[in-house]
Amino acid sequence: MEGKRQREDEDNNDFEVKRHHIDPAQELINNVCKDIRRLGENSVLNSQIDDINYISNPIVAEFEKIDNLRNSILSTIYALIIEQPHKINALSNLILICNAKNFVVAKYVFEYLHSKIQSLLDSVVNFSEKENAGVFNDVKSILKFLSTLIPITENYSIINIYKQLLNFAIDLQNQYETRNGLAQEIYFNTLISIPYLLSNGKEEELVTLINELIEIAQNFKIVDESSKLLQPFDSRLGNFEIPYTPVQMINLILPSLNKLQEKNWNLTLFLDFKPFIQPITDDALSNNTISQEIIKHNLPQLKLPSFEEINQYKPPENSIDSLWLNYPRLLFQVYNHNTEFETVPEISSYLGLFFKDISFDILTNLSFNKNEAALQLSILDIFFDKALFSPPGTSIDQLKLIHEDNEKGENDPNLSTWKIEDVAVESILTMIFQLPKNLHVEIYYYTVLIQCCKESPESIAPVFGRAIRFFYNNLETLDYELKLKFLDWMTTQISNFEFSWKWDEWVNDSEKYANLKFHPKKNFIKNLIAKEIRLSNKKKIKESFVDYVDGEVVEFDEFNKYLNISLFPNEWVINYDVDLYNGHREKIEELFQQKQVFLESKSNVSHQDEIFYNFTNPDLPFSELATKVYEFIIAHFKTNIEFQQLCQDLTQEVSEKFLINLIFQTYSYIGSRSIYSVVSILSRDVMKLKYLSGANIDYSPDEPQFETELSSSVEDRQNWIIESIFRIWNHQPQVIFLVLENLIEFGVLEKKYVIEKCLKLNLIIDNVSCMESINRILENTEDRSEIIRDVVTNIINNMNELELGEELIKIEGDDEIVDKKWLFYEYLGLLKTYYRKYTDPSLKSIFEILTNKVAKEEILSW
Amino acid sequence: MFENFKNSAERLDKPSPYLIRKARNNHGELERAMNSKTIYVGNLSHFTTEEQIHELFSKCGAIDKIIMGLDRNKLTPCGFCFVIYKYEQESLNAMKFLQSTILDSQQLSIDLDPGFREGRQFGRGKHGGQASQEINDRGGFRGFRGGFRSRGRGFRGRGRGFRGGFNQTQTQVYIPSRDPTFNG
Repeated sequence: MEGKRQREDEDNNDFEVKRHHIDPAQELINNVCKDIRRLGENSVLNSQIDDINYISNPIVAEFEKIDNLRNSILSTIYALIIEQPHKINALSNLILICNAKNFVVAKYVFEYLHSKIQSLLDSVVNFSEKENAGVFNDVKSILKFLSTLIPITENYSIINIYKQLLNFAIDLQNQYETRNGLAQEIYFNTLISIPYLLSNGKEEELVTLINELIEIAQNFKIVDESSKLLQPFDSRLGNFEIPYTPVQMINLILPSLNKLQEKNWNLTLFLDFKPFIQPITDDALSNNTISQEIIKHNLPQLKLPSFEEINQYKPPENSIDSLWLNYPRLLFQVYNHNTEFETVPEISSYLGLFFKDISFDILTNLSFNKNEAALQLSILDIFFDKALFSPPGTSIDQLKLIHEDNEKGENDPNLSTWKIEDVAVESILTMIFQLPKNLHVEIYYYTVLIQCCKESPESIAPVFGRAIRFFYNNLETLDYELKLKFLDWMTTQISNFEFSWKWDEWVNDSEKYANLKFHPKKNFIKNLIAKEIRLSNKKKIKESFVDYVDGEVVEFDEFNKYLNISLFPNEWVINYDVDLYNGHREKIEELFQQKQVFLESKSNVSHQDEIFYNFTNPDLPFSELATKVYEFIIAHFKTNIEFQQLCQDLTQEVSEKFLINLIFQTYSYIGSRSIYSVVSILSRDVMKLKYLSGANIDYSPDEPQFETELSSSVEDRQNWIIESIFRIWNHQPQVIFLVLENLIEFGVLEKKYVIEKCLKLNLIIDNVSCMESINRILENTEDRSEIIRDVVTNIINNMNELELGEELIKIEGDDEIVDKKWLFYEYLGLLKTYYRKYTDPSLKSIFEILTNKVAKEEILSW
Repeated sequence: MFENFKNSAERLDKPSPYLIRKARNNHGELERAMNSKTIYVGNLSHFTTEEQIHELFSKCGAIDKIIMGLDRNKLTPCGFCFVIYKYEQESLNAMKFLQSTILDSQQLSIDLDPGFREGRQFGRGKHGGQASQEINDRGGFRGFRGGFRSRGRGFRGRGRGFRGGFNQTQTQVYIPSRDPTFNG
């Protein structure tokens, strides 16, 4: 009945929408703007131009009459240029056709965009837009678009704007001895736009003017800035070879244009629409009552900001401008390393830079619609010359054949081995693995990739497979922070595809590194599976360790051992309790055994089932006290005085360490249904918990105050609390750290004790939940200089305690020593990450205490 | 849909038609939803735990609380929940970035929410569960809360079925290891 009603409701709504009177002018506006947004998405050129011609008619007819239509169209054009710059050429065709029919349309477009550039430039002193790639990135896209309008521009006046921008960049950089990020950006952006000038014609005069621009560009002073900290791979002091040496974008752009210049600007990139457009514009002009000649428009020069003004510019945090401003920009490469042929254009070529640039713009500016971003990136090839890319979905095996034929000279001209999927995926991965920070939260890029895969799974999945293999094969040298991102990406990715992975590829490594804890590959496999379980459950993940070979299911038992995600081994739990009870080993072992039998009897074990809580067991001492505590906590609300009395009663019989364990583990047990059950019960009693932890308590005026104190030191009490949480949630490390983070937030625990504990036990290298947690804690600390100094000191002490000597540490020896050495290098990587994130020159004095000379020298060179 | 024509594609962080319809007589509610830290998450499996939801949704920002939707008769999870973030921006991020991702083999539907009030955690379906899922079970209207776009004139892309979802005859989830070309 209800279902029927809802369906009817839906129908009614459809009906209402249909019945609802839409203003015909508004309907026209909606349709025209929708068509503009989709310009160029048709891969058949003549029908695309026919469509554009058709769209141009209502625009030409109504542009001057309906203000709302004009404003909406201009606004849509601008949005398209900024958010989907690959459609610039298609959009340009529309304007060229409109101009032939009614020059006023183009006149408005010129004036509108010119004023847009100018107001962007004027806004540098107080730029406040948040969801924006930045002033200069936007200026670049407008410049590209205006460049395509050369056929209807008066006197090549756009060239003056290029000159202005280039000279501005040159002068700005000349003001400084050090790298000026914005100067580099303006320089790069201006140069990368130049080929657009030739997209609609290549008159000799124009080529001469462009060659002059290149001449000017030679005068830009490129100031190098070390990018050591930003490099995605690290050779571990020469122990390994890195897959490639990253290059800075700024060094590539001019040489790439010089190469085009040498070939007299013959560039296969833009589609040649001229044969389709010319007849239409000729026809329109011959019927034009105002002018039978093309009317051209003037582009006045810009008013550029002063150097003083530009220094005030604060680009939005997630803007491309901010990347340029703060750090040298490196390009990340995933493909082309493992094939004999190129599957993406070479990074140093103009086309390599061009597709990266345009993909970054789409990704950054379309972040409000991941599905559209994924779609546009997957069909990027149809906006450009057909010969550039192999047909979508071409496999590597097929490309190999094409490559062989190319080599043998059987293809004339040679066929492309570039894959649009590789270009799109590599660009997205570049944005994920961007150091030192991402523009958007990583999950955005992950879900764009997932969406790409949903669009065309058969052709994208193998592309991911190659990327995953590339990262996995280079785990030994991959940056610490990037390893975390790789873990996170891969888990999210495969969780959307039933956790399917070619596990057989990793069996050998898992066997080979069985006795190592800190080897990056072993660590990766273990933590990947732990993260998968967090998104799913053990049963399902166990079932995913299969592959289909010749239609038969092969199970990979090798990975079952990683299903135990406990922070510490079982013996640790038993020893912990024996220590706490000062004996009773036999009973505790028996209880533990019973628990295991119970767990094995269940088909799908919940986290709650796994909790091992015995305080109230009548066979163990103090069970009556424990029952009292249990009833105290489960009761609705008790006063501080009552709590103090409870603690006093308990300490008559048990130690304060036991007391703290009893109380915190009982809270956890009562709240064990889920994280928020435990967090909400803890948050109810923050004062009481602070009383136990020794933290400062701010009483509200009418609240009864505690009169006594526990006798142990605050440090001891804090450590006992942390250990008690480790103990009770040992089977679910993620919950351990979420609870600890909440206790920090409530002011019960001090973060420094948590961090010190995690470092002391090497958990920050070993366990992914711990790594992520500590990173969040540091990230959420406002004044973090002290805590960072503390962290760095602790890390270096840990490294020194490994006693690996002062000389170069070569990763060789028996398992035990190799594991130690890996731990050393993982800590070195962690230091690099923290130094990069929380740059603080005073850290260098702490680095001095590192005893290994070679590593110290490396660190001091950062 | 594009009232101000400021963007070149639909924004995913706008309220769904469902929410707009519901707020027709209560405009404040829509505004509250746009500035809310709370999102509604639907189409969960009944076995998905709070921890799993936390794991996925914390990728958009710090979570303050998760409230599981419960069957009002059985008090067991019934396929939806509310996620309350610490900051508004994070709930908009979840709208944009997590829409239709898969958790426990289920494709999630996410909507902005004017804010949780006690009592809303209980399913409003006839049998105590979530109304839209109960309808699904009977093969009726699919309770997808997001709007969908008509294709309009002309076609996009290569016409290889990019737009308009997946081919119904295929398995719903693509499994790379079952694809012989995956190694390629």
